[in-house]
Amino acid sequence: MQAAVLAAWMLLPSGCWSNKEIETQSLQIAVALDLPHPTKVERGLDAVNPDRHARDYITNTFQLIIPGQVGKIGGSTSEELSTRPYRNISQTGESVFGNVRELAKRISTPPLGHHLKVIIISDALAKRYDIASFLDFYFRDNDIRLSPLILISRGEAGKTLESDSQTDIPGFQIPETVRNRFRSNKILPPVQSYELLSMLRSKKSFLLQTVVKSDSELEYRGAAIVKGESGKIAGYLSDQELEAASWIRGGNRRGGVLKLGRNLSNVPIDMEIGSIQSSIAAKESNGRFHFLVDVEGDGEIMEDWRQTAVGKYSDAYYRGMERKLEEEVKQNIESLLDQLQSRYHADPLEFHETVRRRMPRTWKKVQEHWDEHFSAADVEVRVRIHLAGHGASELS
Amino acid sequence: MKLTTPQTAVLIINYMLATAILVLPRTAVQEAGTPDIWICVLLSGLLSLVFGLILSRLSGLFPGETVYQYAGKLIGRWPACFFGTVMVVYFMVISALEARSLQEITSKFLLEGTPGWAIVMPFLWVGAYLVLGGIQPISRAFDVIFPITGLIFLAVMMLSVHVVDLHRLLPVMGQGPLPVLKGMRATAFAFSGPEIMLILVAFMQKPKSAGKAFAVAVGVVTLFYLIDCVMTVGTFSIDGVTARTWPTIDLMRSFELPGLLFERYESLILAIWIMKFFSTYALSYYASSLGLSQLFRIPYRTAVFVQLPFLFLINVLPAAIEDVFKIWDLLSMAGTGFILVIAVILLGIAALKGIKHAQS
Repeated sequence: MQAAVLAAWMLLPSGCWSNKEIETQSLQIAVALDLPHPTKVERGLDAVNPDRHARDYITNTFQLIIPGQVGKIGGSTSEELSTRPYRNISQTGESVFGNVRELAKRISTPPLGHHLKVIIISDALAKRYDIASFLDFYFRDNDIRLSPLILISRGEAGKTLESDSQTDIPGFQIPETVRNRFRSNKILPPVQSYELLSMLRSKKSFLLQTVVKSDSELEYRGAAIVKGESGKIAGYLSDQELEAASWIRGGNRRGGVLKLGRNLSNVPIDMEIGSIQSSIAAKESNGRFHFLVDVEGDGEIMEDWRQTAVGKYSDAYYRGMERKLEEEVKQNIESLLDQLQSRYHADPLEFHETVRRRMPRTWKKVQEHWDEHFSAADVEVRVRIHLAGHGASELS
Repeated sequence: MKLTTPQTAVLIINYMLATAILVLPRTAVQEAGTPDIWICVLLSGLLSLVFGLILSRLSGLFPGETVYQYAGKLIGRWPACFFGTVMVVYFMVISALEARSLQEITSKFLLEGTPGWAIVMPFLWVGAYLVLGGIQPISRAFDVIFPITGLIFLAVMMLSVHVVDLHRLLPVMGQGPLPVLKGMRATAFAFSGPEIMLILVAFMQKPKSAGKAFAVAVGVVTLFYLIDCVMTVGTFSIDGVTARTWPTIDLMRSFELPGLLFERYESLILAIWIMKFFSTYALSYYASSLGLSQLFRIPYRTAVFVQLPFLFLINVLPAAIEDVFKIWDLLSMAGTGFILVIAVILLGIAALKGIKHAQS
């Protein structure tokens, strides 16, 4: 017994087997994936010792948080921060995993994957390769979780992780922006790594949020259409088309603005969206699908530049506005569907979900080439809009 | 001191609920190919209940005796000895594989870099220590383990609600009932465990309520599996769930809850779930030790210690986790099948010999 206690006592003080000090680690919070373009630093290293024999497929830009530095942001109000709390480091090579391991030769603190928040993919990369192929590592790794947000960058993805500000950390701020969905219907529901994996596996087309970066600012703008069969980007949706997509998707969507277009009004008139409900019904006859999209929305008029209308608000005014807004939504939806059906031949708006749920036996036959069936389908759109208010401005 | 009925139920729950829950959504969808696996779970639960009741009835005929002791009275010493040995080997392999899957998961998600033997050996030793004490200490330990593991598992499952979309479970039986039957091939394994009744009933205060204990236990296990399958398929859809080795763990790796004490819950649930692995391991270890000592008339302590090196050997035999799953499948199918068939035969012989339920 005493021997056992002694043995246990000798084992315990030896400490935790896999102990790692936080100061000796760096946390990887964001990663950007690009087509190979060695940075100046990398080219410099190669120039000194050109022994690279690998073919280059991909450039990873890792945003690493240096734990010692982050703590200082909150604490020091008077002192100016001399260094940024993060560091971006690019590595070009043959594979993602290879790039991660290659880093071990360049930095003293190996990056930890547990806290990855966002993966940004350049559009050029996703046009050339199947997304499932270059993200394979991120689905396999046992440290990196399945929670990171997935974004597509128009242009070089590595640039999106740069910031002019000393205190902003792009890796934290970019994914936070998704939370503004309640204010804008131009932001897609966030697609996290686990969802992306399921969608890629299902071989159905889908949308991914795109971001654009100009000199110093980054903006969520538009979306990329990923074709199910190839897993590559086939085209893009503009902000306006994204809005139309949010009307089709419905799902009690709250927030966002509905503007009357130029053809319906020559001055700005905006409605704030209270909720959007939609339902899609499907019928099939002789191998041809017919969809009925029923969209219902309500909201409030929040801006009307036709100040002539002040004091003349009436039931007729409301009904007239509703008809115009309905017309606007219907036009937008129809032009979006036309793009998807005749230009991209893709169904990223999940019309197939209706078929899968309601007509499982038909679905089994058509799922292989669904995008083609969708492109040939008739879609009828019905829109109803109900104006529920007029803001705090009194009517008459 | 004999086991009360609730204690027995807790023993059965802890014995049944272990590794399977971490992989069940995947194995079931791989077989079924449709999101109907929750129906498979319900049906398999019923099936398991039927077997459990049959075995409880058989053991109830011989109060205070385990199958190792009473089988000889029914089919003669040598056949009974053979059957008993098969059971001992079955329980041994189960306990060794349970230790192995614990090691695999721990070294993958919790203690990367710690050698496998360093994870598994303390586990084996602590188990041996518990098993030495007999069924009462085991039962007491399980009484502590069950509420902790159960509540935390359910709580974390509920946290995942916001990534779940129940539409992914539709359509219900879209391809007819055939996929459901196929899926049951996988879910039935998850319910293997009725065989433990051949041993447990001997230690019950009221052997007559063994059936009741088993029914409650299967009910609880079914509920856990049901929640697991609904949440996991609801998150990953059937396309995604077949792409993950450990879908239930990945479910917890799919969301972050900033500001809620922890952001990442998978470490918590894994650390907790280890206790479940431990309980299945300990109870099968106990069942095989008891068998060894009763069949071959060797002291119980010796039986416990003799197995320890063999458990470790079986534990290191499978080269990869895939092999563990394969052996497991084979074992559940062949082992459970064999034990059930023999048990039904035993019950038939008992009926022919006119052995009546003893009044207790």
